Amino acid sequence: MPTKKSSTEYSQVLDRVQQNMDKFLSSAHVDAVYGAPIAHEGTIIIPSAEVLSFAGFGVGGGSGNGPVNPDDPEGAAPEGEGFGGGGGGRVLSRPVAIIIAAPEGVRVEPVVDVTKIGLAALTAAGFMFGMWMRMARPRG
Amino acid sequence: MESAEKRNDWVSVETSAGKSIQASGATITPFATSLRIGPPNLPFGLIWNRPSSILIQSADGQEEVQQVPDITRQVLWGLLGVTLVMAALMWIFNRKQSN
Repeated sequence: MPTKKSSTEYSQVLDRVQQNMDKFLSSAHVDAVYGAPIAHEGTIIIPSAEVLSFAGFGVGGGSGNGPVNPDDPEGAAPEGEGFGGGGGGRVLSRPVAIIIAAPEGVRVEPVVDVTKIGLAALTAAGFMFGMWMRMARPRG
Repeated sequence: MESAEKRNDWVSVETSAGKSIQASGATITPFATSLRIGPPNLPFGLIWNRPSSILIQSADGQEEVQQVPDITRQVLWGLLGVTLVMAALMWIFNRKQSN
């Protein structure tokens, strides 16, 4: 059965977790996507990126009270407490486009991740080749 | 910041407008879309923010909306589609041949 102290600690940990979650959820903001404008030779460049973030938190608790012997006032006091918490998360970001505001006009230049596309194309080709080889194999 | 929100308990999609920027006589207002997945009573959450469009207001009052294209994502979806179609065609062709 949790003691009064442990209940207080537990609620404090939960409050902390809730605060962290609220802080995390408030990161869904337009400022996370568009970077600060960069001025360069009369042109203003605004970078933009896709941002994926996820987080999770957990808490654990424990308490204990050993048997109390009323006939032994000098005996060891019952004890046992313990709380723990933890969390983790990750933020992934990828550039999507650059907004260029020049005297000639405003244009959006997409950023193409050639490495990612190349790896995906190789994976797709490998999958199709494997499937073709499997189908071409004579059935016994 | 203005936003249009579509929300239920677990999932919400929100389009937000950022601070306007003055550049080359035009005012640029960026827009971003965010997808939030967060169960109300569970300490877990996922947020996906991405740029959606920009609103360009020129000095003479003309307004233009330009989409922010994600070419990498479009190509990856295209590759996935091509792979699935090719796999289906190979399966059909192989089945016809074996009959």
